[in-house]
Amino acid sequence: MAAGKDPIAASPVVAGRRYDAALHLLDRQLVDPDGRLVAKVDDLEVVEGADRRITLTAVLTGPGALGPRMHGRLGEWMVAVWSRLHPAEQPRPGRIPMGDLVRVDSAVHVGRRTAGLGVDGSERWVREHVVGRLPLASDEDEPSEQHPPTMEARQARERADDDVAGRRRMVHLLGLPVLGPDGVRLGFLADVRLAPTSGVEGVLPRLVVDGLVVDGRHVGSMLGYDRRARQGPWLLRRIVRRIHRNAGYLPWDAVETVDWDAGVVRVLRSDLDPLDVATR
Amino acid sequence: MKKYFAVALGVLTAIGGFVDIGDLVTNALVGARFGLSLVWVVAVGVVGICVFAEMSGRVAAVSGRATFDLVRERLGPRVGLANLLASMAVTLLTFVAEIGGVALALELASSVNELLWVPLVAAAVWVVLWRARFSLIENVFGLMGLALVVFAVAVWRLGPDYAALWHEATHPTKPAGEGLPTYAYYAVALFGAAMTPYEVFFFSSGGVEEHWGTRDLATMRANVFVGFPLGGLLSVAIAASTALVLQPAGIEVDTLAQVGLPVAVALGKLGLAVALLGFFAATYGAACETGLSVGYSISQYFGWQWGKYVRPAQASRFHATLLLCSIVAAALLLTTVDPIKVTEYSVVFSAVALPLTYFPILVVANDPDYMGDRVNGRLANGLGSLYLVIILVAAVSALPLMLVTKAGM
Repeated sequence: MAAGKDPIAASPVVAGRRYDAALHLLDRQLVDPDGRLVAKVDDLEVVEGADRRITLTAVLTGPGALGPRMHGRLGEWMVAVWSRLHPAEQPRPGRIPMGDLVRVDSAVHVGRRTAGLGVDGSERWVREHVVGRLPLASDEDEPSEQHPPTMEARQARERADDDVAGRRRMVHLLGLPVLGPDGVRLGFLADVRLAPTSGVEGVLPRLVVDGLVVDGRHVGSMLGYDRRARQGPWLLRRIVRRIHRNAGYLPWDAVETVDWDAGVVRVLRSDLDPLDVATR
Repeated sequence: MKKYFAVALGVLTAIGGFVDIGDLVTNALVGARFGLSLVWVVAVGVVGICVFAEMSGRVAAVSGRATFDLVRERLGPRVGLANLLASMAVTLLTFVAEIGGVALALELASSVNELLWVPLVAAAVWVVLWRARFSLIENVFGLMGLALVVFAVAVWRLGPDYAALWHEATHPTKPAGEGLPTYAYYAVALFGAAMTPYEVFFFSSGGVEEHWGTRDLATMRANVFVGFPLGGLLSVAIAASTALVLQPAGIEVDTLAQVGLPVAVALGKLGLAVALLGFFAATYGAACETGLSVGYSISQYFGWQWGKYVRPAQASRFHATLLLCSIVAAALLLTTVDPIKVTEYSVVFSAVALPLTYFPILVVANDPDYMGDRVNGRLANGLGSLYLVIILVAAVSALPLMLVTKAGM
């Protein structure tokens, strides 16, 4: 992404697999090409383009990304401890740009090996200072492990990361109150549906927010029961659907604006579509 | 041929690995106080662990994701963290109890005080976690644990009236002199011991360790549906042996020696030696399993590399957790807390933590995004839902019962 230019080219939404950010991406395991476990998807980075479309730009990992999702004291404490222990002056959470992702199934697959991603600081530290010093730990290391990203490489990466202005985190979007045309609250933003566009990010299509899952309640996830009418077992489905009976879906063209500063989403309609539609 | 060998080995280790310190102590204790009137709880618990172990194993084989990975994925970071802390506390308590159990078994064999054995045992367990192969841990201790079959032999040698035993087990009545809350409390404890959550953490993570795929589903099911019920029969044999020998004499079980007493009565020194070997193997194997389970669950929550299938340096945070657990367990036991008491509490707290583990498994086993066409069938869902209700009842009633009965006094 070159500096100065609007990174989010307005490309149209196309047919293809859609993802719900919270249900399909957040909290999934990141796996590298060797099958090594990299980290969890602790948060997602989004950017609002000039056309107000919200594009998914990166996956964020580590306590710096997880902390804010905890909310409250515990989250603040997690971030505080992390930034105190982090070697950088003003640490950022581990960031894996969307271009590095190759596949999403029961895990999120990354196209580069862990060592090249630069998000394994604590693993490396524990290896060097604790586990590597235990008896019988001195196995020959794999060659790639010998070359952690140099300081210059890391700085270059961070500069590239700085290029995109107006980066937001999914944690700041999910949970916002959704207000109808006359200012009446329809509910809270439970999830956002991401649709592929004709633009490409690495090997995956670029994903933009194409609809909102709105729930009358602030708490409790729908565990995936919102998406399928027939998912069992019957008892759980009935209970979850009963608790979230006021939940519904709003397509993106019904959204007026996402007011990040005021922390509300304004929409043009006061009626929600049923949830089972527009999944695929 | 190799395939049959793998199935046979898996079934045998599932039998030997089923019984841990919680099953040993709780079954012996309940047998001595309540005879066979609580055997139905073991049966209910064994069916439950079969249902959920099969589900978690299937999820691991089809999606490659172990249980705690899914707990956070489905429940989110906040509820997931609360769940992690509760499950880890219970599993760590069980780990402490298992290490204490190994030390007690060694004390019985050597007459050297249990406290002197504790640091050695903790260190030895850690060495196994640090260097031994996963398959070695599973197979060696699982097979050695089969020594506990000596309890079944002891029951046979005692020559009981089987018809009367069968009648007692199938027509359960609360023994006179025991209150209903006490009876219920031990029912919950026995249920918690049979369904301990670490079993599914370990089982599903083990599936990932051994790179199970859909072709391994048949083997996995054989292990679960044959191995676990036979392991449950071992539990019943322990209860039956104490019911035959200790209950008439009015002896209550509060040491590991008393658990082995019926075997000594029935089979003499040699039998006792075999029982001690069984105690040692069952508790040592379970110590490894619970220790690994603590590491598995915390690593899976945070997305760290975990597992014995990579070299220790590649999973440094996982191994640092295992080391820390071993140190904490030894430190706790060196406060001279009684391992048998720790065991009794650990099985009750297990019952409290049951829904935290089994609810997300049931949800994910139904999710076609993970499972494709291998989602739960009607039977698995029917039993799963039924057990979710039973588990909730057990979890909610565990602590009140503990308070009311002063932990089974």
